[in-house]
Amino acid sequence: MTARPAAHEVGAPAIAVSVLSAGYDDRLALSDISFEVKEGERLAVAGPNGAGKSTLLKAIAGLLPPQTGRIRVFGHPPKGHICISYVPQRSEVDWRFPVTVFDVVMMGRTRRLGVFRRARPADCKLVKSALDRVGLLPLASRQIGQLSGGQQQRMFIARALAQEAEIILMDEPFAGLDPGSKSGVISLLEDLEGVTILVALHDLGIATSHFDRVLLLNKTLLGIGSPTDVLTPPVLQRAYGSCLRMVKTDDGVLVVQDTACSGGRP
Amino acid sequence: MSVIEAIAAPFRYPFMVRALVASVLVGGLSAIVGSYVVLRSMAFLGDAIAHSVLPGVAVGFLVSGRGDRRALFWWALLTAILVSLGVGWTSRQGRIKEETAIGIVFAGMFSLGIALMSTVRGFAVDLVHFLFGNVLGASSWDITMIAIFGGGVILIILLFYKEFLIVSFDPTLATTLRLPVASYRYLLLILIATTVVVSLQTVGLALMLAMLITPATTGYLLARRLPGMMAIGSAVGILSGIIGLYLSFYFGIASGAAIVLVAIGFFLIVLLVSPRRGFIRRILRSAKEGG
Repeated sequence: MTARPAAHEVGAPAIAVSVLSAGYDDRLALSDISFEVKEGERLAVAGPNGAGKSTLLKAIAGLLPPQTGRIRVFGHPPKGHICISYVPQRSEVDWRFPVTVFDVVMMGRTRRLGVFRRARPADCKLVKSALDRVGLLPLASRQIGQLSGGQQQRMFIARALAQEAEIILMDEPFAGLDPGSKSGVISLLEDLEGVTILVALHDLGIATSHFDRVLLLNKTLLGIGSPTDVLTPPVLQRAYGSCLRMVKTDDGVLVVQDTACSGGRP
Repeated sequence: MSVIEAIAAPFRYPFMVRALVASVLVGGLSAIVGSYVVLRSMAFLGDAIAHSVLPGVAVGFLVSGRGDRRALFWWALLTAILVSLGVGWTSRQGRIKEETAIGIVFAGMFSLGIALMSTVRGFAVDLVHFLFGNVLGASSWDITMIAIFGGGVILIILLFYKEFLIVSFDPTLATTLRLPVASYRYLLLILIATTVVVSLQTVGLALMLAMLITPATTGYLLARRLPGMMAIGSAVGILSGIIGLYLSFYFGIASGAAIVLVAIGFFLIVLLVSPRRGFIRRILRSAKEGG
């Protein structure tokens, strides 16, 4: 019923996107996108609302077929891989569904278990250690609706660990989280050695301080590179249509709107 | 008459024993399958499948020449499976919304059934029989079919439990794990269609939806996990069948309606007092927060 997952090509980049256009029906959310991501890299995908961040992540996960162009994950099309974990926006999850935190993390094992098989003790151990790593072991038997926003994101990271994912794609994981929860999720992501991580986010401060590279998107690719190279006032102007500046402070990076600059609107 | 006599009295009649067995089997089965209907918000689909069975029954009636119940069963089963696959296929095309597709199929098939039946004289009685069911008329053959097909449905759910769980809770995860999501969806639709057809005898197609969703929803209000939801739902479904039969026997209420009303009674009680999602609990909590 299920084909064997694709093998990883030696030396191929974790993700290679070339001249990708993607969207729903005839409306393109993205066009002409090309970039590569190395294995183990952490990439922030930033841009305004409707810039195509979710579309890009879904296309890489193999959830949305490209209209044109090509996506390769470790040298093969995404559809053949089971090493990709996609974490949806929180609003897309039915939090009242009768499953516990443990159940959800165990779902990550499904494909490794195979059809007709039940979880073995080794799988339970792996799920528990994943839960322990994200600090949710004491809450394992809670129904998922009883988790806080930060705990919900950590549960999905645990599920990616249980899945033995090599690529994690997270859609707006920081939306609606308080600062403490945000930094908890960030430090978890920073601890994942060797896992390639793409995070769609709004907070340019987080992108600058905690990610190797930033990809700035607004229907097309506006820039990819180190945060200081990409998030310059002219590029931000093209992305957001207003004058944003990144100001380095002792506590991190502040994004400020510069109303006096030439492109600023009243 | 003592209480024990009152409890035992109905079962001096063999037809009451058969009715009891049928109600218990259907009550348990429809709650388990109904759990998926509730969780995937497919109530409308369940109703549509039930109503779409009518033209199949009518064709079976016309072809087999007057009410050979066994022939009607197979025609009903065939129609239900075709309709559920048709709805599944239509909604996958993405041209129209799923509920729109269901609405058209539902009304079209039901009208076709009534049109076919209206061409046959003296069919009115049988129409009522299919609309509202009559568990008191369940034969041993009916019960055998419920047991065989119901057993098959539960076996398939046990075999694919974790796959159905993922496809219901998180189809996106199922896709990234490269599970054959569409195949599981169709399989689930066939299980629902089969359950509807084997259960028609007890409550009829007009009330079938109630048996699919009411006990399962009662379980949903009380349970933390899916197996618990199914177990509580089954218990409610089975108890509703038994109590409904007694009401039917002693007060002369139509059996299908009695069973459904008892199930809804259970649901309302749980809705009020459920410790986690109940109405009273919510009022208390908001009063506490407000104060």
